[in-house]
Amino acid sequence: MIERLGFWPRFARSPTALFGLVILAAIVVLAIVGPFLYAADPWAMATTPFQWPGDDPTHPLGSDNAGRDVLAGLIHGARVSLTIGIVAASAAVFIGVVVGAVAGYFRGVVDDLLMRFTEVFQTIPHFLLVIVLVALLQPSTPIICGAIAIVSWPPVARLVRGQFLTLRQRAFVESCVVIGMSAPRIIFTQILPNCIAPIIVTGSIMVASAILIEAGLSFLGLGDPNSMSWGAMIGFGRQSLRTAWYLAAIPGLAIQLTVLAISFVSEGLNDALNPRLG
Amino acid sequence: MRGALLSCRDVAVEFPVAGKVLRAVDGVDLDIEPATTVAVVGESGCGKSTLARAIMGLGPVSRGSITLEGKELVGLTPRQLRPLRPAVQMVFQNPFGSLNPRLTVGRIVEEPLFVQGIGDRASRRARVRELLDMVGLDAGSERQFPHQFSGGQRQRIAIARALALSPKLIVCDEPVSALDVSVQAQVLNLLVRLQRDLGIAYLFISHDLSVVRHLAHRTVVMYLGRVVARSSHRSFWSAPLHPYVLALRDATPTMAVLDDTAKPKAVLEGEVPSALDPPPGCRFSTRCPYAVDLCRTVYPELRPVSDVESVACHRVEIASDGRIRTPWGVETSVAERSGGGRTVASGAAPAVATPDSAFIAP
Amino acid sequence: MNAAALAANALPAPALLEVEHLVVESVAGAAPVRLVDDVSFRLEAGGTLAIVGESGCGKSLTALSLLRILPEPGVRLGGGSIRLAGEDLSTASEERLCQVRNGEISMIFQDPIASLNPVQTVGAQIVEAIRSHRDVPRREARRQAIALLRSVHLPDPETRIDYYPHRLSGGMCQRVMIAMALASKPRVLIADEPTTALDTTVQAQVMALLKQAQRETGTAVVLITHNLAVAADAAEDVAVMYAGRIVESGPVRAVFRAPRHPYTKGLLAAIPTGEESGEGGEIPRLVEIAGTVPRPGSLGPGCAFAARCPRRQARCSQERPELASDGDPRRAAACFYPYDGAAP
Repeated sequence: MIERLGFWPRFARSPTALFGLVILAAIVVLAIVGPFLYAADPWAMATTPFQWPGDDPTHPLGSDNAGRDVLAGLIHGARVSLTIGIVAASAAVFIGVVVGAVAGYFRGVVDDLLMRFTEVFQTIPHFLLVIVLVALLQPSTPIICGAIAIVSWPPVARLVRGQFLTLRQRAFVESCVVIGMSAPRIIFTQILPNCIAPIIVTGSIMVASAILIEAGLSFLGLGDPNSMSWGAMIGFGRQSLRTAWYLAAIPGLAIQLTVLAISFVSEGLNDALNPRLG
Repeated sequence: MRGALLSCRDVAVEFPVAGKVLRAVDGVDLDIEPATTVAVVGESGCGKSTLARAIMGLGPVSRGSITLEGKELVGLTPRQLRPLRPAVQMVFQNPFGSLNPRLTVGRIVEEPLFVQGIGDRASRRARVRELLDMVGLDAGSERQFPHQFSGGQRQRIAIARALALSPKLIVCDEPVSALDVSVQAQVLNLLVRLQRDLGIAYLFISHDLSVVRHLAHRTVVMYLGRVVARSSHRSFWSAPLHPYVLALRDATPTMAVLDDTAKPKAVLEGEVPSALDPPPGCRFSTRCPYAVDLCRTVYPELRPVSDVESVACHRVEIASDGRIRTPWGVETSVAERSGGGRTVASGAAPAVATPDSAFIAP
Repeated sequence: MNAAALAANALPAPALLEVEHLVVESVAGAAPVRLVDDVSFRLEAGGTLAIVGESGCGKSLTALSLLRILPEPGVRLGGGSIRLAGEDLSTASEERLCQVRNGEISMIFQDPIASLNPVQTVGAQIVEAIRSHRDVPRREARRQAIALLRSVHLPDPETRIDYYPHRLSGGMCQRVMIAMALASKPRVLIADEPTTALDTTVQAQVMALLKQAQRETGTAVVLITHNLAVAADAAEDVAVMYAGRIVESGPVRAVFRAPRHPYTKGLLAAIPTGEESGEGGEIPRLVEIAGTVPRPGSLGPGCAFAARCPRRQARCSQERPELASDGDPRRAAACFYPYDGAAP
């Protein structure tokens, strides 16, 4: 019988996971606290345009094509990107879990129908669908979150369905049928808690991909015009890539760092939640 | 049978497979009386597990009737079935898969009471403690998780859970097959004691003849979806009236092989045929060393040999004077095969199997 | 065994397989934990030894260590010698071990369908086994493979040789495994619970096949099983293991009819016999061994079975009993207060 370590010791065994967690924590803190520490308005045209980082100490990261403070944009952008990432990913996970659980538990005709429905969403190119949805409706933050969720849920559904198909046949689930437990109760209290681990891991990866999709949208100018996201910042710097490449590089680096950190943390979560021996 | 707790009549479970029909259970009659153990024995493909699951409502029933104290179970919706659930509970084979790994033992044993809306929190807690005592688990085990217990202890937890609703019948699907011999003894003793003290009936599915011979009141032997022999007589295994029963007995290794008088036993050849294409006539005829043409063409229906025994075999001759003869050397009579058998549990504690009392657990 | 007994009953020649003071330990935790603790046994050419015990006693690890196929790096050989015809395998090179595996010592496992490669035909796997030890052209190897399948009574071998494992039943796969294991006429065959996953009648067929194959090839067999009746039927000698140690050994008849170690006695008493006792025919109570098997690494200085033993005395928890013969040099029991050992 092998001793089972707690969750945190297992997670902490991986240096990359810890590193990712630290970076992610820093970004989250920056997003929450930043606007209070560095009170500049990201939309204000505070200074002369195209100032390089370091030129002016009052604008440490320079200014963009319209003279807006890059650091302020970075801080506010953190908030926007993380919010959209988490909300969209949560919505996608929610939809995916419901569809997958129902398909996997009830099987038969219900499963067939739901899987065909899932395939429809999987076969349409994701990014194009997001663009179409956002273009049809207005490009506001809630719509963007919704659109991203709509293209992201199929892999979660498939994963959850697979888990349910397997777990449903386990004796402990059957022993609940035998005592007269209802189907919804079985789904939520018996099966779902036992397949939470892969859902969490997939969900965390989805936060990263949601951030990337949003960045792409904003880069193309299709994002929410009222929110200063990192993607929007890259968009502003698009015209001046040759001369003022820092305008694209700085937010780009921020996105890259965030996605990398999330990726490390997911891997760490995966190892910690599914321990393998030896 | 009058007074039967559970009755199956012509139960069939069929699955469409690749255009053909797989008859996993093909017309089975079964009666279980209160406070008795009916053992169902057979090898892979005989349908015993499928039958057990059909009785529990875990699998489909294509044909036939299953009645519990006179109430028909086949065709009920889950909602209609729920109030009937407390009477029939189940213990599963795999002690490592039959308990939810994320729930405490206390929650696991309390769950049936909670789902059926019995009692309040305090009374349920007390009942859980009572149940865990009954199966011999210490105080404090309520707060622990399944992975902290051994296989034998987990089966006891499963038994405690099955007892929670005070069932009249517990279906045990190979409950000790995954356990070591010494642990098996503990669980078997527990099951027997519970039957004696609480009057619970068991439908005991097993492939292990030693266990079945130890605790069954009546034994039913299945082959490829059908019942081939059924008896509560004490000589069922020692003087078998069906060649498959003989083969099963001879194939089971026992310590008797160490006796000086032990004779080498014939080994049954071949394997169980496919359930998709059962042989015409007797299904055992493809492997039976005593099969004749009649066996291969006409299916032998289950016919009564005495008031407590039935077999499905053409080669068993029952003369008009009551004498029974078989080609494998069993000679007996209807009178000898009547009555007898094991009595239903009384209140007194039984003797220990061997004289060495040093090992009796406290 | 004392020196006098050794001298008086000195065996004429070294046995085919001699295992001495074998230790297998787990290094997953902080300190190494012994899973097999000082196990010694011998196997004569052509003989059959059964190693019996319950889960966790270390019998399977003992078998795996003979072929040096332990699940490293978590579990490793911690000491002792494994002599095959005089050659110590515990220090042999990997190259030499490859020759030994399936060449001189073969093994078959519990789950026959899982032991075969699901994406290769049965024939391809047997041919591979044949050709790994001898230089045989493919056509000839295939012919030999069909002959082997016929010798293990696989029906219709010319057709079945091209089947994939999933098309064969458990019994047939185990026959294929036996065929593969015996292809190179090994000196020792290790069978680890070969019939546990099979139906009753198929178990009897496979055990009969093993006996017959053993007679024909003269292979010695080490049979690992938890089923004492199977051991009684198939083996000449038996070693009973508990918590990583051998607690009793000797000829199977003598040990099972008159066990000396309390654990052996308890195990035998726990087996349901199906006989009725008493006039009323009430279900008799099986003898139980109180308590549970101790976890590896949690053993104290004394006898591993002391906590559960009805005969324990003070000495048992303080000192560890070694295997000792008393009278009959073929039998040994690791107990300070063994049972009589005379036939009942």
